[in-house]
Amino acid sequence: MENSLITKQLFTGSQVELTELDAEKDAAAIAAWTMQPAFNRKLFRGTFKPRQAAEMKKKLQEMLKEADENKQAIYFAIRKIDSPDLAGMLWFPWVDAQHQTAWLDMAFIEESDLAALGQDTLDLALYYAFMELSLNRLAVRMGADEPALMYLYEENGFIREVLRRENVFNQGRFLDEYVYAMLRTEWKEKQSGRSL
Amino acid sequence: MINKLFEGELVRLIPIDPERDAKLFSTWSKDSEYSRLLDISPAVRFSAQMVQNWFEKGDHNEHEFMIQSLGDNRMIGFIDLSGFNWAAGSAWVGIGVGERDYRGKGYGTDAMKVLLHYAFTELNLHRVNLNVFGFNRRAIRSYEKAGFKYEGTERERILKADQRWDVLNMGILKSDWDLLQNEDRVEVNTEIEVAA
Repeated sequence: MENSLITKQLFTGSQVELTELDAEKDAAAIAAWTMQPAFNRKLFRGTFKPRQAAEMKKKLQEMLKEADENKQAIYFAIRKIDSPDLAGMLWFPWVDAQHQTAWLDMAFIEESDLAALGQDTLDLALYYAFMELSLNRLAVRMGADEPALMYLYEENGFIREVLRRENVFNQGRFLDEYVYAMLRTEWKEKQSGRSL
Repeated sequence: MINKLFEGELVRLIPIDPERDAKLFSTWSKDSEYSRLLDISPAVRFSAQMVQNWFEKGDHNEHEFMIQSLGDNRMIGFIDLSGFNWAAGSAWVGIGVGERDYRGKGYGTDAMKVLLHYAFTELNLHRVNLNVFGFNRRAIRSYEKAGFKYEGTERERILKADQRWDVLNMGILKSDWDLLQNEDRVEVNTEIEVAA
């Protein structure tokens, strides 16, 4: 009988592969990407400040070192199958093992890649969250100016739980921030529906 | 002129003095109710020396205060602002009333009102966030009295005592707070008219 613990490929989907982030090779692409406020805000959770490549490389090294030492954050690069180029990033900024919960973030350099690669990437992320990290709950947060991302999570069964009024500031406007979450029972129910 | 910015009806807020206050934090950590309601992290005991070291090398981006009772000058708890996002003008508030005899009597609510006055009139914040365990009804009532509004529930956010518990999100905008100040003024004026 097939043992999915061994045969299931955690990091390879039909279109994308989740790879390690390479501070040396990926720094330039991520630095250029930090010019986009939405990504910058998501990665740094603070004031929007673009970074240059050397600065980004140092920052990535710090982030990866801290993640390795504290085991509270996990970072992946998203690459199209058979392409070494960075298409996006997927990361768990806070894995709270005690309570079996985590936060997830996902972003693509090209906006159109969210529609093209988002579902495949999210499938990998959800399996990894519930079947490898053994989480009970996975949460995401996003500003009201990210409707495509919101749609993807809603389509995949995430429930909108919190509306933080005017908690995001972007392009001169205060915007609401949303927290969505999915429980393991909900994900498993959706999986059983898929296989019917 | 004495600065009344940090003084309410029942309490005043004063900066934490690690040498003076560390022993209190250590004593409060003995109270399981206090420790378990304070944080999602596991309740632990810590020595006065540990607390003192923690404050002395602490995160100076936090704004931390002791809560002092006006009636007897006793230090009864602490309150702090942290997690600042200066671009969005937001921060998170944490509060703990360590002295049992002062719980449920309005001291925490008064401390929160004083802190919000500081947050909105001196730090120029746009909103203040907080999280509270769904079962902590006393705290929720206190936050509502201080002006916070319910913004949603993170389902099964924590795992304690072999059960999963919800965490509520609450927030107050500067505009909410302004309205409350106007209401207070109207009430005061009405009282004056009646008395006259």
